[in-house]
Amino acid sequence: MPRSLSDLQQLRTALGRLNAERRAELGGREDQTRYEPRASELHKRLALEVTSRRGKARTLVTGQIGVGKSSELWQFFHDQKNASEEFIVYCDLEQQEHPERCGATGVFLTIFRDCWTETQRFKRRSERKFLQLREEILTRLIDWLGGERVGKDNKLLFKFGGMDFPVFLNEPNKALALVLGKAAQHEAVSEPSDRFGLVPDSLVNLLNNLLDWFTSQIRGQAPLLIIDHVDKIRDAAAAEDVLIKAVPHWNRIRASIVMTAPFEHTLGDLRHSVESKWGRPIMLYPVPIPELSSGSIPPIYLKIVKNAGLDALIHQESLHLLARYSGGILRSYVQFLIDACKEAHLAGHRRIEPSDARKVIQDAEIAYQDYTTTELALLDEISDKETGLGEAATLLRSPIGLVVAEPKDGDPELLVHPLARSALAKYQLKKQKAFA
Amino acid sequence: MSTAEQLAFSICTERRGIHVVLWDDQNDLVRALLALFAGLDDLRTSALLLSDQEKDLLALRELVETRIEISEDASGLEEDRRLRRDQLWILCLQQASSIAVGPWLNGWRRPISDPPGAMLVIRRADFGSFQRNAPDIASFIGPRIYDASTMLSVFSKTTHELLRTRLPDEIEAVLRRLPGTSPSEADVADWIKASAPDER
Repeated sequence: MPRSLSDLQQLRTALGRLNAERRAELGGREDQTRYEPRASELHKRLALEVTSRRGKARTLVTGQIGVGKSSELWQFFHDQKNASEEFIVYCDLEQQEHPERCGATGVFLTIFRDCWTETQRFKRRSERKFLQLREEILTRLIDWLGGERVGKDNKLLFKFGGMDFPVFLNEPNKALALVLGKAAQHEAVSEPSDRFGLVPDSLVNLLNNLLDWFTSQIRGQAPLLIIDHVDKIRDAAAAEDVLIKAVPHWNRIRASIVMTAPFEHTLGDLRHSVESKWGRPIMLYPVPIPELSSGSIPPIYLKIVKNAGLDALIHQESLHLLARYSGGILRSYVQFLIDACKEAHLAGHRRIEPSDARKVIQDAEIAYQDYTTTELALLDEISDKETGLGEAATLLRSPIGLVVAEPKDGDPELLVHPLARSALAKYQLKKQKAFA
Repeated sequence: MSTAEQLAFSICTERRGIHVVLWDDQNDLVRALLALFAGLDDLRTSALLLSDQEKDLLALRELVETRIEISEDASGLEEDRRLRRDQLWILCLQQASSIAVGPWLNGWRRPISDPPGAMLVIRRADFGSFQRNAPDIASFIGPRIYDASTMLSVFSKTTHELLRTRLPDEIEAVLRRLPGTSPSEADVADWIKASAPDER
């Protein structure tokens, strides 16, 4: 029997291979989009930074929302893990946390938490040096976070945001992981007045001792820390704290650091300060946007469709429409595919017909109806003059009005997102009438 | 234009991610929710009103923490917490509260989108402000935007038979705090009668 999206089981199978909310990964587990390499210099540039400045690389990676930063960094992490002499730790600021206004201390605790979790990869956790290090970290954390030993049953009691948080020391490795996890979470969620304040030097030293322990275990180079989702820090003061004020602290860490950065805070007023401390951030651009008039389409769009088992279940015109209106933002493209599958099913279509694709695009356009005249005026001006990105923070975020595309002759190209074009056209028409 | 039945289908088929329902008039919203509930199959829900009041933000935090448990024994989650974790969260934004609530939702986009996901109910006029104040969670929404004001009252016979004249108490309590008034039970009964699918 030929496959058909009108069959609920087939629909579920296709949806199980697409996920727009989590990074794409090789291997393609269920509920995950399979990673597809793109024509980008990102991995090469990162590898060059890391290998040329062993243990001392300080690099920011940035790009618009949904462009694929996490997927690319995760893939880079895996490639490097297999090929390099460094021990690599992937730190995730969104794991159990709230990155929105997380400051430098929250980022530091996240690094510490995820480094501690990585110790599980080693068998020699019973050796004296490791046990001593664990004891020192625990003691210092109890002291800094105000933990109290309760009774004689190996119980520790912390207070986070006024709430009791008990930890039992029977399994010290697990206890330490819990304390670090909870402290990182508290630091990210709580009001600035309830936070722990600056990280004591002694804890920075202990993190360095842990990093040195990794190095000694693999008899290799100083570790590499990949810190993802720092780009989700949207609060300007918190971003400045992490990207600028805390740089002396990051420089004390005996590891290379690759960190994502909020795109809008690497532009405008902060651009010079950020670049003077980190160098120019490495930018991940959207994939090329296909023109509807041309028959060709960048291969990555086709590969994603194929990996989801949809290659025989999508009309060519639908594929072009969905790719085009995604604006080269891969998260949007995957979302469009998911919704188009559901539309096709509900319409009783065997495959995604152009009418299904158009319905999805129409739904996505709703998000663009709420642009203010100020934003449309800015979009109009930027698309006309192709400059002025520093003032366009809201246009770079959801709903994305402006796509910062791969440079052709030096500077990045600024393109109006295909979904924003009809709102912009209406604005331009009204403006012309007003001037007439 | 979409129907509430399509929204229910989307939620039940995906069982993760974030859907949005926009509304202007509470009458429309109530009808959309009644039709949605008729199509949710076995999926249970948990509703919250989100405003800038501290108690509402605290309730949001408690709800979110059911999906990001950090404790000595996560498998020992109490039954109530486990239940709430596994329910579809219906998060209704109070009018003009996006500036206060948006950043909170934004930072928790991952647990909110974890299975079985969440549905945000937002006043039409606040949606622009919500997107500006919560750009990361907004990027998870994509085309899953449904407008209660333009939703068609078209149902299958099965959905029609499952339509109730009242929403769960928890949702009604939230609606009472939102602007506007809900339709009476008699009005809803009339609407259900008038919306019966053709017997052909």
